[in-house]
Amino acid sequence: MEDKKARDFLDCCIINNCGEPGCDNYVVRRDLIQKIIDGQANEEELAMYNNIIDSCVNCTCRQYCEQELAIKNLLQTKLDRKRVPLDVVEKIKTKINKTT
Amino acid sequence: MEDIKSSYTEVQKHRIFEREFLPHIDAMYNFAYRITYDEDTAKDLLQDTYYKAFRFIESFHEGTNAKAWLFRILKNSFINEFRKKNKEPSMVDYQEVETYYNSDDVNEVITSDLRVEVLQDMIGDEVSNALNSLAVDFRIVIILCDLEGFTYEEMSKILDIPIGTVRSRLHRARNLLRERLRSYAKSMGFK
Repeated sequence: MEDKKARDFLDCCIINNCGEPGCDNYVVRRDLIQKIIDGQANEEELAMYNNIIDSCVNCTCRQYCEQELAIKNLLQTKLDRKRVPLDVVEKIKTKINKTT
Repeated sequence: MEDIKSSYTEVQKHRIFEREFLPHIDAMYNFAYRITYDEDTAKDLLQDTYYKAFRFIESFHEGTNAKAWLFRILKNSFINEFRKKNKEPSMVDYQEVETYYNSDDVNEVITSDLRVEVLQDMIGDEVSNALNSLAVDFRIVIILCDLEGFTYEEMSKILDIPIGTVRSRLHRARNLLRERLRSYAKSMGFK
């Protein structure tokens, strides 16, 4: 069991350099975690993710995911959303009406 | 985005414009502003996009994804006209970006010492500066995904790049953003 945990942790190459150049596992996990963060994972992928997290107590993927979600939340809540000035909307409508 | 053209009456064109295009105008304006940094240029880009959308409305199929269609027009206008005109200096060499993901550097070590509590204490200006400091092509993927909520598939169509490239560019953009935020956190005295 300890060996398995250690192996899973070392395999967690989203955060850690696994030492294998071009490791396929990196891309698989990167894409999986990205889908989780962006709410685009299907049930099978969610199960796969939970399996990775559950089988790896020290897994840094969890911390990575939490961080990424916090940054996503930061962008959504702290950036100003501007409204288009009304004169610009009117200008567009006027020009569109003139073209017909 | 489709090649098959529809045929609309003038009344239908105006109805589509009012009901399907105009509701996205604030999102479009914010996108334009975040990629140009300049209010006047953003207004010009927005107007140009809406004129083009109306001009080419026959290519739009009523009931399909108007927001993605409009964002694609805006992105193309920005690349083909506005960026050339304004000689945008921070353009990313796409080849360089894609080469990066095909190289051994893909197994970079990503540090994860940025605490969530530190992020929550940041103010809007710091977040905005961090985002604006990214090259425009990286900024665009973050805006489309995190602020506008487009799926990878929609982003792929808006940007004319494969989904795999969307994902890899997004990943790289997020790593860079995290680094910028970490720098701000350090400058504020957080450890």
